[in-house]
Amino acid sequence: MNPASGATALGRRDFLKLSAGSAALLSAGAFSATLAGCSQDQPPAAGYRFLRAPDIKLFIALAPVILDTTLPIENRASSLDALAKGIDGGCALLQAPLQKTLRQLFDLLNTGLTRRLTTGVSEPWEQASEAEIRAFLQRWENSSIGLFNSGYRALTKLVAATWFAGPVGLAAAGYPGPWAPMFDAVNAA
Amino acid sequence: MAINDIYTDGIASGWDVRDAAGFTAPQNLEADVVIIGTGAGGGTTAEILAAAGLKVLMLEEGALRTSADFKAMNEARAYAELYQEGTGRATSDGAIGIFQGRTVGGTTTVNWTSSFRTPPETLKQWAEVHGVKGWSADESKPWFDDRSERLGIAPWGMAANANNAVLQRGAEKLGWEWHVIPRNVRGCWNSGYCGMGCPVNAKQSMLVSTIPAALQSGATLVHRLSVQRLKFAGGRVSELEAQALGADGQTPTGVAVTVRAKHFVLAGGAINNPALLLRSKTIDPHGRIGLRSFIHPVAFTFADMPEPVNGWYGAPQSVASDHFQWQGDFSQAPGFKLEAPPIYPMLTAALFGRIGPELAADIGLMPHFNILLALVRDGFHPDSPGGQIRIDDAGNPVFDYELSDYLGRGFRNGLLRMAEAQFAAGAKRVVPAHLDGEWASSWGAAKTQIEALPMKKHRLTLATAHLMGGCAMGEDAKQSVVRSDGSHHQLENLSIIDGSVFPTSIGANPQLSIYALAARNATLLAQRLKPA
Repeated sequence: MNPASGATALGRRDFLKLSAGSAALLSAGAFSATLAGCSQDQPPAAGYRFLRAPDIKLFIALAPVILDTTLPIENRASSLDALAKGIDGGCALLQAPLQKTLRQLFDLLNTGLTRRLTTGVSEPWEQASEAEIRAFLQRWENSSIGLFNSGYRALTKLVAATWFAGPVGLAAAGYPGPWAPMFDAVNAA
Repeated sequence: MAINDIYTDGIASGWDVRDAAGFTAPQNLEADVVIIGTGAGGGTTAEILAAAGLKVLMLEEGALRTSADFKAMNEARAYAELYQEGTGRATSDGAIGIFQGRTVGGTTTVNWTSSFRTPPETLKQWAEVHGVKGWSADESKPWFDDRSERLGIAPWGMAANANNAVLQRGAEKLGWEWHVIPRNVRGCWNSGYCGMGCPVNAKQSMLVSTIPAALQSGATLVHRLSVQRLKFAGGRVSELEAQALGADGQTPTGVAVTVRAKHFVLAGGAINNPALLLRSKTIDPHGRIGLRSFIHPVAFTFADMPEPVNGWYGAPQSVASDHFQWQGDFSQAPGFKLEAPPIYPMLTAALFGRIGPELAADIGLMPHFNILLALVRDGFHPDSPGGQIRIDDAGNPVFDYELSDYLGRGFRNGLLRMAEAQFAAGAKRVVPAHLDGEWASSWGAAKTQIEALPMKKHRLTLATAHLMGGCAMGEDAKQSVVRSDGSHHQLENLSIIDGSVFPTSIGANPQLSIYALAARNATLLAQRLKPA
């Protein structure tokens, strides 16, 4: 099916209604893809171990909003590519239970109907404006429903922890690098 | 200068170390005692049993990484290679992040070296409420002395780094108890990189102390081997089934390994031990396996200090305060220990929890960040029963941990006291790690803010590096999985020797509590298996 075909535009009230309903549905606290009604057995993208093509687009859309000016304009495409690879590597190290939860989160966000209902973003992620993405993140951050708070936590933590592990992010954080007296000593030939 | 790699030299001298990733055909191994897990419990046990002349086989699901692998001093690499789930491990709802080691030496290879004796109050609680026998303050003291000697444990002798000095200064200004943290180091360079594996073998982790000693005594170590289940016959464990993991340390290669032994010791920690027992459908007549799992849930406050802190350098933990730990009325809220974590950038960014302009405006201040943490003492009150380890359909561990209003009051008290200490130490601004947290410019403003914060899962930032319980010890089989000496209540040749036997949390970083109890129980086991 075309997941984008089923729904008309929904306002904030409908979002909240569905949010409460879906939260009640998900007693285990996990994100469910059952609302999407689509097959979710797509393989990881080429060169990736966990993320699928739509997941990568999701993070490439979210990261500039999350990271703001700590993500420089120059070499942005390659920075975002490295970021997606880093997030993929982190996800690949998780055991099955947390991987399943992340899959459900990504499915929810990458299926037209559930994306619109839960985030208010009607276009696919690569077409969404930064303002729309910012509004979605704020909505999940400030939601009274823990499930959406947890989704916000997962997305922002994956991006921030990965970004501030790499050289550009570390520089933005003011980290001068490994303690030189030891680093130089143990790495001396 | 070149640092000798203990394992390169040891293996050259004949140590029996095997990488299961290289196994190409099914293996059948035999030993007097097989030990599953090589962390604080397993490493200690291996040395003592091997020295007693028993044929010891150590199994470790993580890889063997040694000082030669730690030279990058790189956080991302360390987390990916040395930690459970690349530090992405969490409670089942994702609300509490879990830092736990997964490498030869277990968490001791990557911990921050804090080495506290089990507080007497905790030992008293175990004896009076949980039926633990023979482990009072007096009875345990010789074992704490013994382990302190073995692992070079002594109060840190150098000045605290600027991050820990904030806690010291705040406590002094406010008249609070504070103390210098004992650390398990010899010849420490004061670099601060303990969490990434010590590149100079100064930290006296199991990796560089007990495991080499066990190997020297003729023990065998098999790493990248994941134990799947125990099998039983006639009231005993008959054998265990394991699968070799590939060079990535994750993917099974399909090569099966079967181990037979006279005695089986579980030392895989408070998550993996209960999961293995549950996967194995181990006899559990009173349904105790996986219950009372404790974590010292940790809340954080960030301070923006006027002076450069550079909290990534210098011994990561050197100052603690127990001012709110044991004095007070704990019928309403739990006690907590105050400490500082290292300001590792990746960890700090993950905990900071802000995005967009707020992130961009402040993350560059990281050289001025001080972070304090409140380690909440769970398991000492009926409203703090701990979490539960269960398994999913495939047998993977799943950890449910619920918050209570009781714990919430502990988090709030912790946030308040940390902010107070940070301002007393001269902080310009303080923000509690919470989705509703905002920078406060005075202690009064911080107090007003923190008193109104909801102590809700996902909104409050929570993490743990201390996994305890799930296989509680005690003399009453209705309330515990093993006896006080670690022997299983129902299976005569099974022992559990690590932090999973603690019937409550410790109230302090647990590594030395594990070392001491493991040393005592391994010594008793050696006497049992090899009567003089």
